Amino acid sequence: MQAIKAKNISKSFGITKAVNNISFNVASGEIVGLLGPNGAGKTTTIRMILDIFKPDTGSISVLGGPMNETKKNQIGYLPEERGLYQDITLDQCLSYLASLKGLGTKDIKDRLETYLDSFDLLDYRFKKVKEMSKGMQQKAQLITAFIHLPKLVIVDEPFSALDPVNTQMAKDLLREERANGTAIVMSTHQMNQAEELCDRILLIHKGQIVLKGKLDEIKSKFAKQEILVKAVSALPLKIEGVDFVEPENQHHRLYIKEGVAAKDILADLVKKGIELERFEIEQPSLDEIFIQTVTGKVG
Amino acid sequence: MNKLWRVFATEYIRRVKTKGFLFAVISMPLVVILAMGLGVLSVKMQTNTLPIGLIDLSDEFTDAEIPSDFASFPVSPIDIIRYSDINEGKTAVFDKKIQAVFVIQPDYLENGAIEVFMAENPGENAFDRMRDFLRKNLISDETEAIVNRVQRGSNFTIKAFDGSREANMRDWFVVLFPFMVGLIFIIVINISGGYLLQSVVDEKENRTMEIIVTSVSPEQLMIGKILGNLSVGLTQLLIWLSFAVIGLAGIEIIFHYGQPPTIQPIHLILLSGIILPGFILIAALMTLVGVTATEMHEAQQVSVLFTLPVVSPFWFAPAILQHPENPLSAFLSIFPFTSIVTMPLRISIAAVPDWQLGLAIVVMWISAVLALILAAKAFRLGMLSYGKRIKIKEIFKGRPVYE
Repeated sequence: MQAIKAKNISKSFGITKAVNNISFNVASGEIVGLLGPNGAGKTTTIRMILDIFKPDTGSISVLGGPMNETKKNQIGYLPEERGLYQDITLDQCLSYLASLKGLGTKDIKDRLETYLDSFDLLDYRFKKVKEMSKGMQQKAQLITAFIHLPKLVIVDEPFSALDPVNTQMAKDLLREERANGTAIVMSTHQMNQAEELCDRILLIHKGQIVLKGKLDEIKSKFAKQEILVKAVSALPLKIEGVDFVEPENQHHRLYIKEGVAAKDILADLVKKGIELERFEIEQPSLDEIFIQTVTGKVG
Repeated sequence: MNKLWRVFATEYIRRVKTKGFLFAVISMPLVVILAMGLGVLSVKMQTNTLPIGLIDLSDEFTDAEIPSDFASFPVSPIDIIRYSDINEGKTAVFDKKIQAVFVIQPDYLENGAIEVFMAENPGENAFDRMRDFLRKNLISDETEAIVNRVQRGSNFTIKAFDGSREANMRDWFVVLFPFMVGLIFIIVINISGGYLLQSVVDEKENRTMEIIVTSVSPEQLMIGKILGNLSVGLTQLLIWLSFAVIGLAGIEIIFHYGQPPTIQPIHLILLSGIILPGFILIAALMTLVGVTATEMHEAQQVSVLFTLPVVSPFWFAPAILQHPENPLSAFLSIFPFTSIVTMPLRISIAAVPDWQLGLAIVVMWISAVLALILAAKAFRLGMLSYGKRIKIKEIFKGRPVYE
């Protein structure tokens, strides 16, 4: 099932075209990374999905149709900026936000107990939100996004202010929810996190989608003409299809010629009786793909 | 509806649980108790519990009956003791057996002369007791009805020429009503408006609004907030009024002002036609200011633009009271912001033409509805615009204007 179907949506603020005729889908049970530089149009896109803004043109279908009151209860949202009441207790704050998602008192009590426990926040349950650290507030915000068991969750910089242990905890939560069939849209600048979690990515730049697809497909598309090789014996001076060989710390970097497949290099090395410990096609990182796409510069 | 109720209940409970609210609620009864205590103390200080002496040199009251003293708290009843000799009476005063001796002079019926001998100033109750004794006995031959009427005095009612308004001079509530209405309105709107302003600005500043509007519509959020914070002000007022009623009842007991206040149909018309839409008007404008301002202090400064006109009729109160029919009074009682205080003022003392009252009600309700519509537009525009002031032009157009 498609949780989001956005078709040719655009949104302008005055002469600034924040989002320019983009289309994309997000299916249940997948994490889609919404990436892009600052001011690319990510937040505007998110707000249009959430029905906070109406698109100027195009249409958005959420959970099978236009947004309504019932669907609002099936959507979770974690904004980039923390949005919690500071002067009330964590319990009061989370209970109120959960009640606005249609949860009954008993469900709120039970689920809150479980979530607070798993996020190590039980001791802070009856403390004022302002007494909690930024990281703790971020965890509380995550609970807000998931406590009502939504079918679609939009998270904007979910790992912001989290230490490595809590980051791992948050990642586990996202993976678990994906396994349960929840559609997740994750907006982030942390490319390593997107790389680790996302099934597909949408790269938005100047209001337009400049790159989209499955991560491995994109990586293949941006694959470098380089191979990392570690051999037990010395490498031959001349290898068929290789421009030149550059020795590095424990291995060699082979720069292969345009149009030559890596498997042919491997076949040639094996044929020459070279015993290999490592043979790895160098893939670009998402960071590199991002920079290359946005700036046009190859890293 | 359920979500609107949630927003309302949360806003309400959050506010009434604050220390500031509890302090404000408790402070009023303390002031009332203090005022009552001072009243009682003041009356006590003016009274004396010792009996008074009576010497009748006029022979008009030789067989006169000494009536019972119906003085009530905090004044204690006192006895009247007859003496046949002035020196005996003076000795009793000197020995502090009585507080004073009243000597009715031989020519009392001609000139009403009474000499009073005392060691120190007698209490006011001593004179009241003596006046009561004289009055009752002077008319003792009259019928019971005449005696009662003389005792209770006359009852004046002021009426308008067309008979549309009337006020009993003993009905102090009629005189106090317009001032009470104005004060109550100002108090509630200050309390509720302050809370509302704080709530909207806070929620915008801490970005909670962005999460809330993914669950409820901006209109539900806005109305829930207005109702919640208005209810806080009304709750505070209700508690204060309860204590005020207790206090007034106490004062009534102490000072015997007369008959209890009565609610008339015109009061209900004013409440539903002027006061209620007045609350909505100011609350909507407070919301509008809160959501369009960038910071709390800025919102507070702008909100004065709405609250000041509400208070302004008090400055013109002498003119309105003396000339309730003049054009300024008529204008102030129809203009939405000043109508809240001016119309009750005029109605209490003059016959306001029905067309003016009707027009004021219509203008007030239209203003309230328009303010709500504008506030809703501003809410949608301003709720997510952080650090950016919303222009008036944008509110009217209901969309951002880029120049």
